[in-house]
Amino acid sequence: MKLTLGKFHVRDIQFSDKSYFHEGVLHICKKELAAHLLQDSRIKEIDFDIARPGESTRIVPVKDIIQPRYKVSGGGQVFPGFVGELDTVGQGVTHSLEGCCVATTGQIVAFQEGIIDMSGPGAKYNSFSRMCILAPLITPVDNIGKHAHEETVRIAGLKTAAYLGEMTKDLVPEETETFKTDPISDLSKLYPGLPRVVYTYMIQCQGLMHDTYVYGLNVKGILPTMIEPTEVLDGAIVSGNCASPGHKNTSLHHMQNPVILNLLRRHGKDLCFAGVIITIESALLADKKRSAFYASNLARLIGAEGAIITEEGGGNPETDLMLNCKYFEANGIKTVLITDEYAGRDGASQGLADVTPEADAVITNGNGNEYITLPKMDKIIGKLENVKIITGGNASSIGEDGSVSVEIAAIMGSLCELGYEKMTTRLR
Amino acid sequence: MIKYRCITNNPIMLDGEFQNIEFIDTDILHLFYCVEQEVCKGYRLLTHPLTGSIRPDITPYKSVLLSECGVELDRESIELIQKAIYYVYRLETNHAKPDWGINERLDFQFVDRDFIRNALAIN
Repeated sequence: MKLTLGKFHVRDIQFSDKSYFHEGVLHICKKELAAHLLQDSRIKEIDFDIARPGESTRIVPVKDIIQPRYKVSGGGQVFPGFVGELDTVGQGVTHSLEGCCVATTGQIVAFQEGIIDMSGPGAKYNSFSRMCILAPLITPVDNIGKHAHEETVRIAGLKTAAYLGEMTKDLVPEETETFKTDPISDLSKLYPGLPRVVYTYMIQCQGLMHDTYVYGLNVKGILPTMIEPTEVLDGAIVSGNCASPGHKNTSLHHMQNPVILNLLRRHGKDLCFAGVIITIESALLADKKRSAFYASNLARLIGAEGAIITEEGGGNPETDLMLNCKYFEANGIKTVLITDEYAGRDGASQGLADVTPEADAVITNGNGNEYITLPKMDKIIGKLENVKIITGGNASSIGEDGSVSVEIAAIMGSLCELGYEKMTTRLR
Repeated sequence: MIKYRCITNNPIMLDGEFQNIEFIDTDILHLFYCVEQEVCKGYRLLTHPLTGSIRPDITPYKSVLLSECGVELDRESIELIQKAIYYVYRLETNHAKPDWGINERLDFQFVDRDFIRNALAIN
């Protein structure tokens, strides 16, 4: 497969009478976008707000983050199964709005959602603070169930991102980057001396606020399966996960998965990227075991010599991470694990809920229990009181001066277990 | 549908939807000690005690599915419940659990039940 990302750099978002993209500015007609989203009868009201890098703005709570994209050619459309036509993606040309994202807000359950600070010390913990953010503020119809509410907000976010991306339909990208994969059958011939590496992509699927979708399908109960890396970059995986803000994989993280991007960029140079195996994080122990040995068998089938395995969330997924490690290593496949930790506020405790002796190459992306104080912001998008009840917050989180004291787990994407942010481990 | 025992401190699990509910009005750490006792009698863990990614120092509620019959000691189940006990103990001694209001408690109960519903739907 060959996918070209045509990139447009966004330096501002402004509300306007007409929707268009011109000279780095996304002009959005609120009325038109609202009418588009209100086609979903489960939405009672919708408004939008904008947050820009450097502003004294805090968004809380945040549900999902999505990068605006539009498929120009190659079949299918971004977020297949939700917004676009249900067809294979990952080929052709896709336009991508860089430095910009959609952040859905709103309280579905009374916990689990995070903070984005556009300036101050909190801004250093994620990349979203350096993006222009459009926040749809969605009020569902009365008495909507929690599952329907989650789905409504999830789909509205995806539709908003696709709407913004479509503004570039007839424009020429400022830069392009092309990713190419080879059929597994050709790998030995093409890259005989290079180590064959597979990426094992663990995704959550345990229930409300803990689900992930591939081509619109909730992956709960599936056996591990293979997917082209370019399909992932093209929006085939969508997040319905909200557990918890610091280390959930948002839809944007899937679309910009740094493990996939780096393996693709290094493919054919110092390694041979043999493919992506999607595997699930189920609540059932039998499922965990089945998924782990099955994923390792798939890797062996395609001749993998090494595997990078990423976790999503924490607690029980660490058992999946360790089982994957165990079975892969038993199949003779060397593993590197990527995770985060909850090692206490002083960082001195054991950081993971499960471990195995085979896990001798582990990268951590930070300690979620680390405690910080964030200064007051002039503008709040959402509801500040939520800070007291989100993961990492507590009853005393809001100071008299308007500052906020939380564990960094409360900050969206701060501990991203795909290695998307700056906090990580590097070998020297 | 698999046959199971469900040990829980989540009151919403008593609403009649599930069978073999064994409700204990306690905190998660003590609940896990009770599960450990059952595992030591030969019951196997069917679900991971730390369901979801809601940390046990945050949610007040957990439900754990065990095999209906106890046969022989399952080493994996013992290891897992003991690791979970240590994880909960460690997180809880770091800081006090938030004092949740009724709406938050109902949401935690709802999500915990959803994990069990989903787990049972797979089998």
